[in-house]
Amino acid sequence: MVRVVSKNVLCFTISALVILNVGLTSSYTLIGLRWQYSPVTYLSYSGYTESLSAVESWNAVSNCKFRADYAHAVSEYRTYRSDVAWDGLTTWTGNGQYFTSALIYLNDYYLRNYNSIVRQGVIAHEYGHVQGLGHSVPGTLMVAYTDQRGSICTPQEDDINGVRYLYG
Amino acid sequence: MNKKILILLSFISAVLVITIASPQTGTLNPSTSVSWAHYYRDLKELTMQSDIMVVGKVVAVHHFTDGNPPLAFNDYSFQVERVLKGAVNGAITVRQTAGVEDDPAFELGDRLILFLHNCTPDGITGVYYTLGGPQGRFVLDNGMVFSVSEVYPSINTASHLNVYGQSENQFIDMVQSYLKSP
Repeated sequence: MVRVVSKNVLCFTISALVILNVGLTSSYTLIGLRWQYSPVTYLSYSGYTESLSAVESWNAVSNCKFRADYAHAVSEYRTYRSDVAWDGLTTWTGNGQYFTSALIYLNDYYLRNYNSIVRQGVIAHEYGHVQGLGHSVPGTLMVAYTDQRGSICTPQEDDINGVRYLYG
Repeated sequence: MNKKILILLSFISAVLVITIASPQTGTLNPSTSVSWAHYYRDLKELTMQSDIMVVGKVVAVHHFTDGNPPLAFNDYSFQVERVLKGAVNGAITVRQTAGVEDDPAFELGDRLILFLHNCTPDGITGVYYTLGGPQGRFVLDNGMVFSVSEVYPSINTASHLNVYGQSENQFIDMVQSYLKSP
């Protein structure tokens, strides 16, 4: 009887630890779309030198790769808007469960005052949305607020878990 | 019997693990997500950083697009009932980028407390936007105050200031106390 109880306790303990661990390490969210193919073609019209580093940071960890091409599905633009609270915006179109195109807007009203690391963080964050990720918690690239992202400018463990869930 | 219990427990555990490990998947609409420039740690910071703070009601909305490539915006006409900070009269225009996943559209008739930035110094006359997107908007319902994250539970709330059912008077007293002793 004692042996059976011990087994049950052990089973519960292991389950609880697994559940707790998964709960703590999986914070990413998904926007509900993914790319059906890779590489995904993109073109940067923004002129920000940090764009290439941002794209390469995703290419290093995701099986959904970006490749610069004049015939592209993803376009990155620079805008200047003092009437909004955002420094980067991504809007997309989809067909069922797959992306068909995406537009990234980088707001120079804010970005011109950021250092290169923070600017890269904003751009990489937007490419994270293009990968299919939603917002996540502080300590990740996909946290919603640039202030909270700080010097994080490449995908972190939670962000990587998100794209591995999507693309293996 | 004991083996059956163990198998059952293992099955329940597996179901729980799969449930918790599954990421939250949003809907296909809206189809825009942003990086907000500034995060406001608490109500005091929101109060101190706002140009104006007002209580009032959404009375009209004007949808439009702007820029190249165009972006969609909503300009809300907001009838001010009470000014908590700054100086405004009558109705003001509050601008929102349309379709942003964690900043749901205002609804006509909504009574709100808004913490606003004035765009006028940047050359856009008479237009305001809420600080931190959804952070600067609080919904009034039957004399109680709710943050956007409480009214729209489907949005990602990881970084929001959560206010749930605080009395309107208590909330206003609190933000006004920040103004008296910054």
